[in-house]
Amino acid sequence: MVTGLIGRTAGRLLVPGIFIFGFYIITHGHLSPGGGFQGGAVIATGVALGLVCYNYRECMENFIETKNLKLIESAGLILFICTALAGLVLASSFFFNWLNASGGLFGDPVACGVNAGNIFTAGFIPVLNFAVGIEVFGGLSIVLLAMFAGLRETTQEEDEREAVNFVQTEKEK
Amino acid sequence: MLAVRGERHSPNRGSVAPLNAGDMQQAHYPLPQKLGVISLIIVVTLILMLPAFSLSFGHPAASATDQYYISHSQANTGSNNVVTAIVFDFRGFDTLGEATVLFVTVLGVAMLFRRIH
Repeated sequence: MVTGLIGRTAGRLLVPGIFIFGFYIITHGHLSPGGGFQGGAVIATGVALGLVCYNYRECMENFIETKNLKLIESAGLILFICTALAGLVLASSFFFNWLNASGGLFGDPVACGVNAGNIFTAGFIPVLNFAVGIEVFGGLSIVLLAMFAGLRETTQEEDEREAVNFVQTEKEK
Repeated sequence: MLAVRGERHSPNRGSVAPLNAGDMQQAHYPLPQKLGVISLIIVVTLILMLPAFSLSFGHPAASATDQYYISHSQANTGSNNVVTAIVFDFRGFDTLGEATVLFVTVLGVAMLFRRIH
């Protein structure tokens, strides 16, 4: 079974917006409500929408493979632990905020009290947000893909034999 | 022929005796003894829960930590969002544990739904 033209077009329109919104939540985690977990879950929602619009076989062929998502998830956790370990090496202790107010990346001094918020503040908190975000995105996407892989789907030949078929109509154009 | 082959593959199938009805029966206690045990359980539970309900929660002396987080987190961590400052800085080990739990959960799901060739 293939999702129809309306579902596929809506998915193509919505999935980039969902990804950008999730990335916005991750990068503004230290200024606005949200953070790595929430933004990663939003991005995984976009992956779920893509899986609903295009079935598992087409996602594996055209979109992103499960082993790359496993790589992303592991990289997220390793980045998290390495950022925390750098506090032990460069400063005093594990999980020390060694980037805060250092003048480097995310090291701008923050104005105390009510202010508009500067995205280049808060030291290593945005780095940890990013690490957790890509880990949650990879992990939830792996769960979705692993469950979709067990579903019985139609093969490519059965899809092409269907009379009212989006792939067929697109090929005829 | 088929039956003989089936018996050879599972030789112990017929040798297990069916369970008697009396094997699964529980012991019966008289009614006053039952009521006494139930009331004893209730009384002991109430006595054990007494200190939990008698202690007050949110006493001013006990909330020094949250007041410290509210007033100092912006200066200490540079983060405007106090929740993120607590989750990723003051309670960083908690977030590390959550990330590890998610990782192990995904490993378990991937193992459960793996394809067996």
